[in-house]
This record gives sequence, C-alpha cells and structure tokens, in this order.
Amino acid sequence: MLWRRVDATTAVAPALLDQLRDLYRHQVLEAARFERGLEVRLVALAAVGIRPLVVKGWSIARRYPGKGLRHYSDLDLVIAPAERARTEEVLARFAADRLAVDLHFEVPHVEGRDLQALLGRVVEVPLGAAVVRVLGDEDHLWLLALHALGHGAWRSIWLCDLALLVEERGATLDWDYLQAGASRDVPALRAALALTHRVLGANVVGTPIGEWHLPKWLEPALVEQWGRGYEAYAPATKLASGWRGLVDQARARWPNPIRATASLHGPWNDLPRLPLQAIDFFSRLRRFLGERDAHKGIWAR
Amino acid sequence: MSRENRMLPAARPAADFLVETLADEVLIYDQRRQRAHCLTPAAAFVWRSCAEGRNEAEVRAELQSLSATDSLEAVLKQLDVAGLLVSSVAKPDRLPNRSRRALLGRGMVAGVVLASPVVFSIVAPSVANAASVTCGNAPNNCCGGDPTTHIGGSCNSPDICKGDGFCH
Repeated sequence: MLWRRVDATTAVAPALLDQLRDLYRHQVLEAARFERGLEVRLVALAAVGIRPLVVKGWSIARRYPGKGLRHYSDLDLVIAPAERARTEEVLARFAADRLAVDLHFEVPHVEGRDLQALLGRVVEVPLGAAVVRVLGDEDHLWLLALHALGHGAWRSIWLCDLALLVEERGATLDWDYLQAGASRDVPALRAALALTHRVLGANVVGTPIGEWHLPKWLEPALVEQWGRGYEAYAPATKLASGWRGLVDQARARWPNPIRATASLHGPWNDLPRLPLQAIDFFSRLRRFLGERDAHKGIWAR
Repeated sequence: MSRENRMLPAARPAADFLVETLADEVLIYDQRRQRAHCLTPAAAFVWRSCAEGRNEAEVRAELQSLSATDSLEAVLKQLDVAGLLVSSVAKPDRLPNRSRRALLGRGMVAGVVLASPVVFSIVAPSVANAASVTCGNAPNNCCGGDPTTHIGGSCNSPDICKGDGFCH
C-alpha cells in the first residue's frame, strides 16, 4: 500500500523506494500463490464432501482494490472437528507448495454470536474452479476486530481491514446484528471501529461509529505499539539469568494495554490499564513457569 | 531453415508458473523452482512469443516497435538464464559470424549481454516488512522448540505452535 501511495512528490530515498517496489512485487506473487493454493485445496476438499469456511487472510484480502495490497501468511480454514482427519489427509497432498494452513475447529472470536444466524449469512464466492465460503461482513467484522485487539493490534493492516469494511459497507451494514455478540465484547468491537475513524480517518458517515466512545488511553497505546514494532511483542522462550536480566525481560515483554484488556475481556473505559497489564503479565508468567518443563513458551497461549 | 525463419526456443509449460500483470511489468512465480521474476514489457512479449511457438523474424520485428534498445538475443539469453525456457538459447559461438563491431552494435559480445536487464529476480522482502508474526529471522516461525518436530516452540497469544513450525 505504501508503494502504491508513493508518487513523484514523495521524498523517499531511492534504496527504500526499491525495497518498497520489490516488496509490492513479492506480495503480489505471494497473493497469487495463496489464491492458487486455496483454490486447489478447496477443490480437493469439496471432492471428499468438506466445505470449510475461510476466514481472515484471503477472505479480507479479496476486498482490497488490488492483489498484494493486503499481505497474509496462512490460510485460515474452519471445519467441523469430525472432519479433521480427512481434511488433514487431503491437505497433506499439497505440502509441496509450503503454504501454511491454519485449521480451526470452530469459528474463532465469535463467542456469544448466534451460530445459526452466522451460518445463514455465509456467502459463497467463486475462485477459479472452487467455491469459497466466507463469513457475512458483520460476522467477519466482529471476528477481525476481536482478533486484532487480541494481538494488541500491532499490525496496522488489521485496522485497515476494519476501515475497509466500514467504508465499503457503511450504512448498509446491519449494525444491530453486528453488535449481537457477547456483551463484554461489544465495547471492544466499538473501540476497534472507533480507532479506524480516529487513527486512519475512515469515513464513518451513516454509521454509529462517530458516537462511540474511544478510551483515552487507546490511541496512544496503539501508536506506541506501532512505533515499537514486533520486537516488543516477540515471544520469549527462556527466562533471562540474573535479576537484572529478569527485569529487562519483564520490561520488554510487558503486555501492551490493548492486548491485556482484550485477553482478559476487561472493560474498554478510561480507567488506567496498569492492573490489567499486571494481571495479564503475571498470568502468562505463571503459565510459562508451570509449563516450562513441558517446553512451552512464556507466551504460548 | 534460415535463422530468421526458425522458431523461438520453447517456453516452459504455463502450468509451471503463476503470472501477474502490473501496469508496466509482468511478475512470474516459478512454482517448480520457487523463484520469482519480474519481466519488462519487452521480455514478457518475447516470453509469451516463445510459449506461442512463433518464429524469430516476426518477433524480432515486433520487438523493435516495443523496445529500441533490447535485442531479441539479449532478451532470450536473460529468459534462459532465469530458467523460463525449455531449450537453451544459441550460445555466442553459434551465432552467425559477425564482426566484433557488429556484435557490439547488437548489444552482445563474447557472450556478455550488454543490454540493460529485462528480467529481474525479485528479492524476498525483509522479515520486518512482510511477516505477520515473526521470531528472530524466520517469518512466522515458532520460537525455540525442537527444530524438527517444533515441539516446545512458543508463539504470541493466542497463536500456538503447529506441527509445521509456524505460529497460527
């Protein structure tokens, strides 16, 4: 997207420009690989009677105005638990293309939503010889919002996904149905969508987003997380030695307020986040210490 | 058969490639060799002509209208080096006997292609640019754990380390 936005008037170092251009080319081909990989897998699965739901990744990337604008790194397929063995058997045939497939045995992040209504709104999208089953926009928007917050929203593209759906559908979204999930998660959805307006300038005319409260700590936390990049979010695999090392490690792994609030299903209000961050940090530390002998990482779950 | 009437070398089967056309270039992913290339319009035209089994004379004429600087030989050579053709392009010592000046004028001498590149290999982006979840230098990898089974690899919540060594 950066490459597409750069023009003759943008002051960018030539080396960076070359990198951006190569990155864009690479992502276009990656998108083509994933699209082809998805198609052949779905055709093969359909041949044995399995028709997965496709969420995140391709199903949102397809909405962008050009191939390669929305990078993703795996195929998220939702199947019934009973279909697992057969699905894995089919997918094993395509291991040579080295595309990562993430199998889900339930639709992620949709706790509290009406599953029958969700399935009734599934949309079928043609993709070459395959038919892709994707979530309706409201269900997908809910899923994408909670997924982004659960990861501390450290990838800016996740917010772009939300902005894209909001701008594309706007007033035509079923706003009541969109918010028909677990009541504790509705404020999270609202906060995420309000962020798209505040941070990305998403056009929210005709939507209720403008009236939704944005906790005052949220935007600074997001900007700080984006400024720190992934390194501040990287998992640890072992405890540092010595107190000083432990303190440095704790400081580096201190959960950002967004992730702490989302993972604890905390309130999205203006109160300080420190208690939630501390609880999140120590619960992860406890799990790490408890599972260390079983070779589990500190942020494994 | 005269040289001008002979067929272009054959392109490898289309099924080997994923092809994406951008505004001013053609991107190719070689699925067998897992390599990516970027072709200028002139190179893309020649490559497609090879796939269509056209002869040199007509392609040479059309190429001149597309690009005044790229000779057919230079383009074929680069397509060959990139592994996009089945049959090898004529080596310099099999080219017609011409003077050094004539060869220089056509952009080639002693097997060295002097024309500007028309086929670029696409460099994989840096991890920081492309990965959604990263660990060290490997995109999306589970950190730590057994390098073969990936048991014990850790990921960011709520991702977990799967048997393929990636965080999902």
